Amino acid sequence: MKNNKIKIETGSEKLTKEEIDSHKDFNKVYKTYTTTKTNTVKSPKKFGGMTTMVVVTTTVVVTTIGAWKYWNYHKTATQPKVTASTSSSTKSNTASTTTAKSTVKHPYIHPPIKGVDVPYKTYSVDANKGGTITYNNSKIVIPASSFCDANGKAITGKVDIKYREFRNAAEFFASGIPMTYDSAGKQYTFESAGMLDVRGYQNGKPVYVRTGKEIQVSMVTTQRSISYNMYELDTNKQNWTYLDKSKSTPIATKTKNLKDTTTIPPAEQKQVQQIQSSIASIKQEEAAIEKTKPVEPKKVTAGRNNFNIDADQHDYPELAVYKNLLWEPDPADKNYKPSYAAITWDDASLKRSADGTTYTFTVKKGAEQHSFIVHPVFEGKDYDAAMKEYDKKYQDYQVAYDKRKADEKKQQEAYEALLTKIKKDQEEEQQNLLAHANLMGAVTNMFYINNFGIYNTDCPENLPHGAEVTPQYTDNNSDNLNYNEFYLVEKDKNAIYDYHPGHNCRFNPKVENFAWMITPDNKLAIYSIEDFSKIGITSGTVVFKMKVLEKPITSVEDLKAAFKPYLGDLDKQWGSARS
Amino acid sequence: MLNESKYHISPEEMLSEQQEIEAAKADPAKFEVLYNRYYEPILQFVYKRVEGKEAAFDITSQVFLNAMLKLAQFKFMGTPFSSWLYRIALNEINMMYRKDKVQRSIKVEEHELKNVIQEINPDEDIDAQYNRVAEVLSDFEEEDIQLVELRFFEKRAFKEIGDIMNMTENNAKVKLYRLLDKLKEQLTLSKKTA
Repeated sequence: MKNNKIKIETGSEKLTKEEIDSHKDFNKVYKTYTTTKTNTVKSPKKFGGMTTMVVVTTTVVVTTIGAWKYWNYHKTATQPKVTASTSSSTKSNTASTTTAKSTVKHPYIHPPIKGVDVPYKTYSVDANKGGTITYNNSKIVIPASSFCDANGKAITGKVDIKYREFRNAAEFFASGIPMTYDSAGKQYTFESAGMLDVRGYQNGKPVYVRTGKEIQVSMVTTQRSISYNMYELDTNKQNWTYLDKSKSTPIATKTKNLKDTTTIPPAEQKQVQQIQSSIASIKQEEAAIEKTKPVEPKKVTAGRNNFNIDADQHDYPELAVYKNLLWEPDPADKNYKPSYAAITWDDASLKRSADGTTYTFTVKKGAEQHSFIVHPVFEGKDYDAAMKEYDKKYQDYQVAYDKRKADEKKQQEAYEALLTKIKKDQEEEQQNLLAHANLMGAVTNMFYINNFGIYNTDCPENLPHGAEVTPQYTDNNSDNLNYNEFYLVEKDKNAIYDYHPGHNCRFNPKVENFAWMITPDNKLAIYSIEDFSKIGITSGTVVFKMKVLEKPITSVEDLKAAFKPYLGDLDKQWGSARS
Repeated sequence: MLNESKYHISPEEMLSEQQEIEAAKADPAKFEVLYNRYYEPILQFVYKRVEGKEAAFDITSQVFLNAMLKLAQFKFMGTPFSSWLYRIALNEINMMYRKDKVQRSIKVEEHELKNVIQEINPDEDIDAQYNRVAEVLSDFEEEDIQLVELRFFEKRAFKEIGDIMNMTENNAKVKLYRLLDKLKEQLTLSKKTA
């Protein structure tokens, strides 16, 4: 069923001449044009086999754009947004105390280290069939027929899906994706539970998600809290758009990630099956042995009828050992009448009772039929011989039967022991998983997106409290480093606080802080946790003497390695983006 | 048969317009003459394809701003300037629908719908087919309905349709006649099941 049905309206209200004239305003368009033109720089950059123009926009444009509310549909969340270096160099802005925003033109998404960014992984998906992409622990489920081109035409054939995730301070920082959120005029910093960037292309051209189609994303995050909001980056409005609360499922409660106590693992399942099969086999043997259990001979009763029954010994193995066997009706069974002995019956059958102690004898002649209980009996010497044989056979039977019972018991005990072990293993595994999950707060955030773009599961945070100082940044040689952004993180908090040159720096002296800058030659200048602990004041001027690392940063991995002595292994702390 | 497109302009007019475009490239303030000429046609074009007047005004403003920003890229290749503007407008409309994910709508005059019926089933009772045509059209893909809009609702020439939709004139023709066959087939089917 097509779900993007087009509404055809007839008899709609027409635009009046007054309405048309009142909106026809070239001066307004021209004014917007001049403002936009003045503040726009274009820089082409090759990306993924296609050329993308990057619009570098200043805040002036944002203000102007606000005049036309519909301009927000130009958000580049649906377009491949690729960052590029700008013509305005940050290097030349040395020792300036003015704000970076008023003098430096950056694209909205601006990786701060030249040539370093979180790479995309490319997956090929059949547009007709859809598919599931697995990126480390994340899953992206694309329904069939989900894509269209710029004109809304359905796309068939192979589509390249480019996907990347950002989990920790190093990756957020390297990406240059702004992690601040403006709500009602107040700016917050995002504490992120994970961010993703997903794009679609066919033959180098961007593709779009069709109306009515939704891509499901499941991201595993180790953030402790499960109360995160979903945001989509709107690069036109230069802000994040709140979408919804993410639907978080603690991994510890997910059956698929725990051993189900009702399910035995495959390796042990085989053992269980073997034992079960063995027990079943023993039980069959026991049943067969029971059939051979000899019937204790009885002497004939004086005064009662007895008769010979020609029973097949194969059908009655328990009787096979006896010779000259006779049958006598049970004295308590009123169904037997002595007159039956005089009748020549057309048919007769013998059936042993379930407990093996009696037999039912059925005789038929025409429509007449009688059933009554009979017992095997012996006369004189036959009885003595039968008893002798019975004792011998019974002993054999008992030995065989006891042996099978012993085997069965042994197998049963092995089975119980195995089940106990399995259950114990499962409980231990479950405890381990629960402990791990509780420790790490691992959850799966599941959400649906209907555009390509950048999405974030975040919790907006205020700037740190406790200390607000006027910073002076220098390097090891006391040379001025005041020209650049100062990035601060609190250990164990997945957020980056970004301070522009010339702005006060706020931090919480009660927690472990770590900060850095990037020098013009791509080197990392750091201010360690220990350095912060020595500041000792909460206001006034502080000289942040930064330690400049020797080697320039050339990759995200370099950055993580440089952070590791201070912040630990970021991949292990905040998820599994780089497993 | 459809009459000649009312959007048709003569080669002389096109040449004169080309001079105005070149002047606007040199001095964007001179774009005003083009703005004044095409504001209403573009606004009407947009309004037919979106819901709400405010949306139409906003998108139209965006179309002209984009046109001014991209004017340097416009090269006269025998295609009317208006086609270039309509193409920008169509892109803006598509972008709006993609972003907002709202149901696509189009405003149609009664006689425009009857034009389509006249084209495909001229011998049958037009009134009887009216509702069925609207229903069947509503199930068309976006690009398909845009072709129908441009050709039958707005009576544009194939050359112009090709220019607006960024395809060759011949391709526009082929696609449209395939669409008419599809429409005819769907109408027959819906008539049988009705």
